[in-house]
Amino acid sequence: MTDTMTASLTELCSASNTELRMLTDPHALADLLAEALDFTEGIAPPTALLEDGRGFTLADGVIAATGSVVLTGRFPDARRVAFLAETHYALAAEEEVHRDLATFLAAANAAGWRSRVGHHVTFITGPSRTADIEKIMVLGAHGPRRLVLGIAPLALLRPLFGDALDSRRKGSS
Amino acid sequence: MQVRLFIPCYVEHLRPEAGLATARLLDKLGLDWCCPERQTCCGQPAFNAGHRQAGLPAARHFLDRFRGEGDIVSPSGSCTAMVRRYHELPELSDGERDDLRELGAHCFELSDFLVNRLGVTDPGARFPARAAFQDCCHTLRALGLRDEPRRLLAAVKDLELVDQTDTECCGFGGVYSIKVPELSIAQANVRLARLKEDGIDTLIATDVSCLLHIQARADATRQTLRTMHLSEVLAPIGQAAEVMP
Amino acid sequence: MNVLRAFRRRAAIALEDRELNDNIRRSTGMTLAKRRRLAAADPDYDELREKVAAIRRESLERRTELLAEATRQLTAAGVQVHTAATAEEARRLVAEIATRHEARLVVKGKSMISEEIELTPLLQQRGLEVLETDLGEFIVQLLGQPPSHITAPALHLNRRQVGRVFSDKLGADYTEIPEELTEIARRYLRAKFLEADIGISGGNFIVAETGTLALVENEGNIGLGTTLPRVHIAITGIEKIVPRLDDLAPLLRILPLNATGQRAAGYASLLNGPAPPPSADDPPTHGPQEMHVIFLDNGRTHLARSRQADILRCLRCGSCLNICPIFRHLGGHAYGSVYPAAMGVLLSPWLLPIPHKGARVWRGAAVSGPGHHPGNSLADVCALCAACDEICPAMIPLSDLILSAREDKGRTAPLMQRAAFRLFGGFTKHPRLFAFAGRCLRGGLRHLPARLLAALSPAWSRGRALPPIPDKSCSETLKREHPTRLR
Repeated sequence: MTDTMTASLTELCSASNTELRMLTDPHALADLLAEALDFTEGIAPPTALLEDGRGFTLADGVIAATGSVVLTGRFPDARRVAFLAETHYALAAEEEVHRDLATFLAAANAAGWRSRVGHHVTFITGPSRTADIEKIMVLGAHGPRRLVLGIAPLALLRPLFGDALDSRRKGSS
Repeated sequence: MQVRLFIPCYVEHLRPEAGLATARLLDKLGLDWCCPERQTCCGQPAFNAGHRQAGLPAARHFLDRFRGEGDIVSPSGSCTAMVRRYHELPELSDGERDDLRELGAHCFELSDFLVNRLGVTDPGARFPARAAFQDCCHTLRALGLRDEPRRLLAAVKDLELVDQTDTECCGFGGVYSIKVPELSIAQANVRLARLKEDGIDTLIATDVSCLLHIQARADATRQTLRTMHLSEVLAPIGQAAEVMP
Repeated sequence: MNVLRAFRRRAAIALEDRELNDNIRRSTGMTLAKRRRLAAADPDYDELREKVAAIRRESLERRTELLAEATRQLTAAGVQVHTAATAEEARRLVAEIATRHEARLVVKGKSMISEEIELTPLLQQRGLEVLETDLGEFIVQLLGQPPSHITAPALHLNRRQVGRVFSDKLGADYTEIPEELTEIARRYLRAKFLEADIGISGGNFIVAETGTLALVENEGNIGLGTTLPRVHIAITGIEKIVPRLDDLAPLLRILPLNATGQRAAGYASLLNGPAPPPSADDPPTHGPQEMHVIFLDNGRTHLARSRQADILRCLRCGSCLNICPIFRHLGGHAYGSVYPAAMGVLLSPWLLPIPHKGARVWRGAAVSGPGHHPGNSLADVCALCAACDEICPAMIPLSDLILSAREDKGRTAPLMQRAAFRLFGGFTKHPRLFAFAGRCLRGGLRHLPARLLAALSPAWSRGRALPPIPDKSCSETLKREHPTRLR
């Protein structure tokens, strides 16, 4: 990712109340995983929903133009986690930051849409929110109150997610 | 080429000052102009009420009065917008439709005529007042004239124009004002409240109809208000002598 | 009763309600301001709008073919597709699915189409518990009201009113803090989501090419309602189908921008079908095991053949409500339809039938369909200011369509009214007669007693003064001052 892309993503995430973390070294990544799902060693699960409301998903990418997290049907539980968690931690690979919605859709369609994304694609921009009372923005309407988005290079993710990541790469090729 | 002055019926009978001021302005600019006699109504009341057919005689009469060379200028955005739509009327012959389309293309609201046809943005007027400008819906949206009247007013000496660009329709709307009067009045109230809030007692617009409506509500609620058509500000009585070079 | 008279009666009550007027004006104003800032900051906005308009035009032109294609694709993906010609048929379909699954609790995401078909009362009659889950819609459901706005159902209420509803109906401690009120609804509804048998949603768009249902929201209630219950039913109008997957990119960009002034909605769910069944070696799959899409016609095909057909391009963003000076006084309830303001004035008479006089066709274009009569339109409730034309993201010429609805209405108007306009038209080609009538009018206005004049023009004079009348007409003075200029 270029510096300008990072800067623009930072601004967009701040506007949508997404807590963006650029994870450039293994320690930062380890910290995020520990915070999100008490993970310390071994192979991390691609999704998890903890009793205390923390939820984790390995995302299918990020849309740079809007700062949105992309989840697909590849990991069966992702959608449930994304809506039921109190805090949703999403982790995406830097190599899977798509310029905008149009480029993502075009690529997914070219890759055979349904076989690429499964039974859904869910774009998530910020924590759940409402402005139904006097147009005052309240975070945490029905879904997560916080959305934490970590972006790390694929090389850092590969040793931690192993097969899960590989199956995904195959699907998207 | 001679400029033809189009006097809408409500200017003719209810607010002649706007027509007279437009004439003074044309004189002041040294233009060769004339005013065709026996003008009637552009037919908009019928057209907007959903009786398009009933607008046909008006269009044909207008064509008869204004056929020929030269621009047509009018102190009304609303009636100008109507003339520009004449070619949409039903039951016209192809020839009539072409003529009416041509006619519409040569019909201009005053500020459009001055700024875009003549390139005049400062007719050299002085009008000491603190005033707001009302965007009339047809002038603004049907004709797309947002900056033209403002540029003209910005050049008027001793006129302090208070910005109220975000205001809504005044609620006149022709037949609407009598079909749904409660709302029409409620809309005028919003406009008047805004004027009161900014301490303004002079309102300028490109259409007499909107001004008559706002003035009528102001008078009924005893709010001090002076409504002026753009032409009356650009060519106030007594300043006609200062002819532009 | 005459629809205009009924509207005016409700409007008069709404106009007296200062709290209501303030709530609506403030809320719509805030949305408009956010929207304006975002649109102004986007250099490609005009281009985006053109693109969206083109997509929606194509959707409308190819509607029959797209419906067939979408049905094929959805069916192939394991979705059960139904078409409903009328509201009644759609209600029956939903009720049958609920019966088959022995459902007890239904959670609904905000869907104007389920309001259009008045789904909830029928399900309740059948003993189901039906809960609206969008916060605004939940509030109005507790009050027993329909939504006041298509994207902001409770914008007519302020925090104090919401606080009272929650304490009265849910037994919550009174609070007027939006965060606390939201939390009350969240807790109450979260339990219901976990228990629900069926989730009902609308559909913002359906992609024909892939059979994908797009749902846009901020709260997460639609996400929960289409993930947790074992059955998902989406009800959508046949006009919501767009040709290609690529079309979603501009649509999903322009919709939140206009609806709420956001660059992107909180959630855009593109659903390709029910969740795959759980298998032995996979972790359990969560998502509905059964998915239904109900395509509703309910007058739309007739509307598509009428001169107001372009209203079927509508994205339901609510911009034409927010910008309408009339809506900004009244909110939606005064319209007597769940679709208010410009889009509603155009849609309602076709979709929400009032006892009719049969279908009529006028020079190739339908002016009425089953259940629809142009006389039932509120087309008169519009000053033709055209502010909605300027804002509509699908570039629908709303004010022109309203004018055409007035014409349809004019054609079936009482003979006396048509004759009056004919007479007026006749006057415009007789300048002497016209001038004479003008002189009489001026003379009358100048010389008759004010009270008599007011009595003669009650619609104008109640609340408005008559203008001071000049002695001479404009042309009379011009003739005197510029004798050579008149010809």
